[in-house]
Amino acid sequence: MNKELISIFIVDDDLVYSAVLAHFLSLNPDFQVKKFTSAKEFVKAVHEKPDIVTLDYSLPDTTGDHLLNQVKILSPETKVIIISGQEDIKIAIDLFKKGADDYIVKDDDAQERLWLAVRSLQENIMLKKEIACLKQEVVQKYNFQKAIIGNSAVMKLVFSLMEKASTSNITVSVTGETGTGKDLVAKAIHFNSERKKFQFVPVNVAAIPRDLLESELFGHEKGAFTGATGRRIGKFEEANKGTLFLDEIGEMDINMQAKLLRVLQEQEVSRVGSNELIKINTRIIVATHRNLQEQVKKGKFREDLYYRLLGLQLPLPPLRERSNDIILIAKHFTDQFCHENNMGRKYLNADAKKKLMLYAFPGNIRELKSIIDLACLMSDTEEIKIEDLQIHSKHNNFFNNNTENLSLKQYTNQLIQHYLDVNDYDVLKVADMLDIGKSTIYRMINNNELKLYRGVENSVHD
Amino acid sequence: MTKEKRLYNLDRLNEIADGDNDFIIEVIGVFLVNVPANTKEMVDACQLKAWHGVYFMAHKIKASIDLFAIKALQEDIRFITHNAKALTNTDLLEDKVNFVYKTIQQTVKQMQEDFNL
Repeated sequence: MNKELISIFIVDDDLVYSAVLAHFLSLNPDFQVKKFTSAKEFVKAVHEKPDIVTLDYSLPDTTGDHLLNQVKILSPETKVIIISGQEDIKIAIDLFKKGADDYIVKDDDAQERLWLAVRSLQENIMLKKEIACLKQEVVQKYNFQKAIIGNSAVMKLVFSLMEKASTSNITVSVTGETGTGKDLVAKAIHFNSERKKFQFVPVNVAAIPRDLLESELFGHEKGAFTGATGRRIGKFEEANKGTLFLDEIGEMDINMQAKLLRVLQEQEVSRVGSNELIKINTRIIVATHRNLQEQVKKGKFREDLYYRLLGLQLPLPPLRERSNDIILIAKHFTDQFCHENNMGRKYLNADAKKKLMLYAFPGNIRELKSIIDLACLMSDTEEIKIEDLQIHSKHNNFFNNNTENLSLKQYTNQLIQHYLDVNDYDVLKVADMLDIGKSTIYRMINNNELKLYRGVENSVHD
Repeated sequence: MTKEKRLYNLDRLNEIADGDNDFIIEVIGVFLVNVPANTKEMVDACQLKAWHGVYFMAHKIKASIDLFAIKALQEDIRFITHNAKALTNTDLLEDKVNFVYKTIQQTVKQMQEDFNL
């Protein structure tokens, strides 16, 4: 059924009366009216799920209440107005009990009363349609392939893990550098799961003061603490039957971790200031940019909670490790920005693409988006040129330099230096990434061809 | 020659039509096809003393009689509807039914003349 139009089926064997009703209702351009003269004819068409049906109580081939039952089975959302030749309170009450939405007697005022009844149902129907439409948009928005863009092998693995996560209730731990889209992954999992009809509740643990986190998560009773002026339900309760997304879980205070562990084990919460235990059925997705295992080793994260939360691990690769996706994502952001800002379509020229491909994106996708948004704005033509890409990263960006005049040796040194810079000077990791020996890197460091810290000359390294 | 007094009036229909003459002609056309046929069915049912059938057809005709304000029949059609359903005063129904039939025939004739149908 059309989102804006209200479809109305008139079922009446009195052709004069149904012609009058149809004409009367058709005066409203929002109403799309169809007439049926028998129950049989109407039942054949009820699969079209009309918004409203006006049913004559006395039809030759069935009774109004029997037809009402059929409508409620075949199209439960359809509103039914019974139109009867006589006022019979008992019949009217019985029909209301069976699900009729209104009962109108065929008299001189019937058309006016029908008009009012339809107008009052119209508002309700439009709201429902609006909600259904928004839900559909959300599902579309968080469709895996639309929410997260990428064709690289590593992203295909991410999609496959997300699919597994959506078809189960397992706890999911999403890890990845800042800007890799951990929150989008969490939302996409929720909106592709059975829980999508219920709430997705995000909580950024790092953004909530330590003292308030307990009340935020579990709720509180009136007077539980100074300032608790009324009862408030917590995020766990809010996310009941849905998904609770605990972002930056690595920042959670150790005492709070113990309370969270208990809730996860018992599947019940008690609001601050109350002894009442409330059963919860909440799916948990956590995310962090930290290495939780290391946090456990340092004693900053409880080992038991770590294993409780580990569940399905979903590591999101940094953008630089899926450079094949950079242009794909950049194109998506270009189209999106131009569309949202009513600009004509723009495209990245070859040099601009090359510049993006060679940049390390320490801020990952978030940084790419901001670079593209600005570039779309700066370019005066449909072509986005290299000078439109304003890259302001504090990270050393080897690839921004003009490399054309470098010798092979200089080029190699700068390449390795760049990888060291963006990988926290982890020699083993860089050696592995570039497929060279770690001793080669150490030798270059000792020869002052590479620096282990930005702008600082090396001391002795083995 | 003075025109015979009209058995019907179109005030209610004009009000609904809100100036749409095509709609008025359409509804009159539907009336001319259906109401005489329904009335005939009511007569047949009455001859067979099939009171439920009488009730059903009278009930169906009633809304059209009201719409076209056929005042001569408004009371009788209600009498027929009520008594045929309640199975009361059935001995009076035949006369009433025949009167409705004749009046509808006259109304149809007037409408055909008035609208060249």
